[in-house]
Amino acid sequence: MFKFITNKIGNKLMLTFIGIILVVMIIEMTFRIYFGVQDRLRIAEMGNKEVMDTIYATMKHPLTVGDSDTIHRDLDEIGQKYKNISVYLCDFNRDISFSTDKKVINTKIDQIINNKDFIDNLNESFKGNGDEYKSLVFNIKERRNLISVLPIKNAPECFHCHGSSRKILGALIMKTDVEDVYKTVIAQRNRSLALTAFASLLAIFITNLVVSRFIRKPLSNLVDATHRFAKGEMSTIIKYPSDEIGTLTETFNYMVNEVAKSKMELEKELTRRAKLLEERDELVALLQKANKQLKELDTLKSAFIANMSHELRTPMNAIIGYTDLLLDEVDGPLNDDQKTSLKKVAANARHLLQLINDVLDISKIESGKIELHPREIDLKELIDGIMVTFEPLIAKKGLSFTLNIAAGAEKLYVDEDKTKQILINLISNAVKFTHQGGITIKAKVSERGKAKDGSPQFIEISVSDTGIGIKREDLDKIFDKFAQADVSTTRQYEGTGLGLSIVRGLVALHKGMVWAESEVGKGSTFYVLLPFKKEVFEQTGPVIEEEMAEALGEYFEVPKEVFLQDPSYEGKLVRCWDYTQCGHVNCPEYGSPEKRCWLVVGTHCKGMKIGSYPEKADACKLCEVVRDLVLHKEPLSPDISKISEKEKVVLAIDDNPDAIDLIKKYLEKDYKVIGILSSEEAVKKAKEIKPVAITLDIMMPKKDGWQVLKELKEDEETKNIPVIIVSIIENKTLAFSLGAADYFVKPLDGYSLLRRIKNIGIHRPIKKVFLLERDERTNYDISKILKESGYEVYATNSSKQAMELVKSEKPDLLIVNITDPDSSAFDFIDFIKTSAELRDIPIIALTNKELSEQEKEALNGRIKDIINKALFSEEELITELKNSLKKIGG
Amino acid sequence: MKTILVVDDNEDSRELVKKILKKHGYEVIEAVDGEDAIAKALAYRPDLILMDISIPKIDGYEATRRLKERPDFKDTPIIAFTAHAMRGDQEKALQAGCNGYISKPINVREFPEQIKIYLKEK
Repeated sequence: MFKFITNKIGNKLMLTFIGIILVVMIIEMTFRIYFGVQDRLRIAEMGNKEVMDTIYATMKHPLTVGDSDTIHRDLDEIGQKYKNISVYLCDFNRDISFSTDKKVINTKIDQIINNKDFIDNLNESFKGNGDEYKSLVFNIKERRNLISVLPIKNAPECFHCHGSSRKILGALIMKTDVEDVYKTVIAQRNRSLALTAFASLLAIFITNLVVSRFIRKPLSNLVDATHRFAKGEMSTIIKYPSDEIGTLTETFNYMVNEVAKSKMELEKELTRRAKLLEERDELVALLQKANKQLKELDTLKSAFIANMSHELRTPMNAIIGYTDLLLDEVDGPLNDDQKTSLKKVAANARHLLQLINDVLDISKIESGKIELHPREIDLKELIDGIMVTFEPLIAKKGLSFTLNIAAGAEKLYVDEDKTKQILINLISNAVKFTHQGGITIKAKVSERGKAKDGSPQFIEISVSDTGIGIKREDLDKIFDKFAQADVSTTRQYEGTGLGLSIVRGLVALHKGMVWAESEVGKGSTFYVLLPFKKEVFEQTGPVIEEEMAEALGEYFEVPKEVFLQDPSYEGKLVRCWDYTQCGHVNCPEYGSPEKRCWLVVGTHCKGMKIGSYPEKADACKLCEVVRDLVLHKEPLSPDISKISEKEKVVLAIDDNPDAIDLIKKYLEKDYKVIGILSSEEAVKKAKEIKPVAITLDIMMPKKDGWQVLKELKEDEETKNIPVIIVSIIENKTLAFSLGAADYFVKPLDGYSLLRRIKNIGIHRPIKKVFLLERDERTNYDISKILKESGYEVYATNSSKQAMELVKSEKPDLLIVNITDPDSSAFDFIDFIKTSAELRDIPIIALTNKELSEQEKEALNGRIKDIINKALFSEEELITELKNSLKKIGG
Repeated sequence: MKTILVVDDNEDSRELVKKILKKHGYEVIEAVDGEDAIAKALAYRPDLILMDISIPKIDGYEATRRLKERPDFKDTPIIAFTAHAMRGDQEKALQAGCNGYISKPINVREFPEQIKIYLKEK
């Protein structure tokens, strides 16, 4: 129970409050009673003194003179006046002489005030000198009486009766019944007590209410909430007043909210994790399954490759073996023709075998079947081992061989077998294509991937020969599959065209690079970068971007920030830089002593990654890109103002810079090629440049080639420029109907393109004119005029006949009246424009009326001129026709 | 005259080898599969066995293993003779107990030399 009180703040407060009230009440009562009585008594006493002084004053004279009657009378008056007062005058023997109560006269005062203390007091007073007035309360007959004693002093006037020996003669004693005073005070006290008790109770009640309302309840709410919260109930939000408890509650609510939120998030997260785990398990199971299947497939594939290898090589055994046997003349002598033939069989069989082996190698490289087992090897030992096989051939051809390994480049960290294969391929090429001079193999430490003051990462091995060399433009292609530098070399030098592809693949597996330099007639050098250190295989990105930017900045003498931003090139973002020795022939740095150029990788380069390898870096025009970026040049579109009048310009529109580059290469001897990557600018540029021809790609972002073609053909300034479509998609019908001059499907046959563009430039002199006109009269008139002007004229009024006639006669100009009821003239034009041999023949359209927009559109780009007969008189028509002919070139 | 057992399921291949070997003065016995190879080996006790690996019934590895288990064939050279060009084929052959490896297609001119080496004639 005690605990019940003390474990609640409200109860404690109440208890304290009640205690305080009780103590205050007790103190108040005590004081009230004590001081209340004292005060009353003091008043009574003071009253008594006054009365007694008065009585004494009144009595003094009668006493002196001995007038007892007056004294009696006065005392009676007093007795009647103050009911509660009794006055006694006694002598020093305490005998009462006078009194308001006549009955007690001559009795001892002791009988009336029977109290020892009083008597003692009185006797004491008689001994004194009579100054003291005393007042005391005594119980007389169980009633409290205030007894006041005024000693009566002996005075000279009294000497006559009492002598002078005594100082005090007696005393005037006044007894005042103060019982009523006490009673009044007690009654007053009781009333006050009751009032106070009531007020206290009220105060307690109100305080309790207040405490309950403002402390107990909110606290208990808070406590309950805390309990509930502790049990995990998260929706425990409670109302709160605006005080400290309120603040506490608010804080509590906030905490609850936060905890609830966190808990919810936690639960969500847990659920999510659980789900993820579940999903992961499922995925793992799936993956395991897939992995198993893949492994099975892989095994199957490996088995297939092994089988293929076996199956293909088995018959080769018999073919090569028997051929060799025959050639060895085991079965008798052969004549020269037979021998020559058999030698060809043998050579081709060996070629086929090599092809099979190479294809198997390539397939292994491409399917990732090749696993490297790199370790540190000695380069000289390796090359010596290889050279043993080549020595007889080198000796036979009378070639020299030099090996030069620079200090520090003695060791490689590579797969020995694969490196052997790489070098064998390169050396066998060198030997194969060299007829005099020699082969030199050099090795040195490469700068590639080497950080500032860092240790080398790659060794550069070069295989040089003094052989036939490779044309500059072919250098890009030699690493491609089945691409020997020149078709003619394939015949002369047997090879599979896969050797360098295999080399590239194997080098790439080593994270290295391969490139070549060559000069026709002087020889070639093939470079390979192979790892020097184990770390090469562990690296993911070779160079830190910032370092690269710094190096680039230094190189181009611009702040490095240029390279840290995302520069845009022809409207495309370029990012990520790598530098490397690209060795690409088109690289401006090609052949420089430092032989270091910059590869830009990023969006421009089709998502090439940092550290990508040469097999992906198709073209080092990337170097130009960097240069142009830095120098803010327009690379593919040279300054128009610099184009001289004489230069024949071809405008190449393609979103792929590679494609433009290719066209450039094919045409650069005869034409200046200006490339535009953005199809949106095509028409504008065409107007500015006025090219002799336009090559146009179809699949371009934003605006496709069809739209560009349409706009070119609609514009007065550009409609006569021949447009050649060069696209990956094939839709010749649409192209020709829109007015294209020719259509090339990618991959582009560059020489045909060149031939075609050259042909466009040449206008055949118009000699043979063909006329399709239904109106007999006009037909006759025009024929006649033309004939008079010296043209050879073929006239007809039937489109069907026209088709045959045009095919057989191949005229230089067609004049066609297109306003015929069945619009067969349009069919005729379609026929002309879709025929490869006829579509270049210029057409002049004759009409009898103004053409509709639709008809104009149908003719757009396909005819040279339109002559509306209705607008001209006969003579004017002929003049107009002649003008038109002149315009075309007749 | 030394006897050589040529095991190969491909008749042309067998004939070719036979022709070359005969020309170089060897007696040639032919077997067409693994079982045949073991039977012929036991019957003729050849001085050398040219063992094709991909052969029916019992493959060349297994036939070699079985023969090599016998003490009387411990010293008979068995040469793996295969068109397999995959990595590890050679190792596999050597593991099975082959004494050497000649890959197909053979080089007609070098082949007799290789045989001579295995027969320790050179």
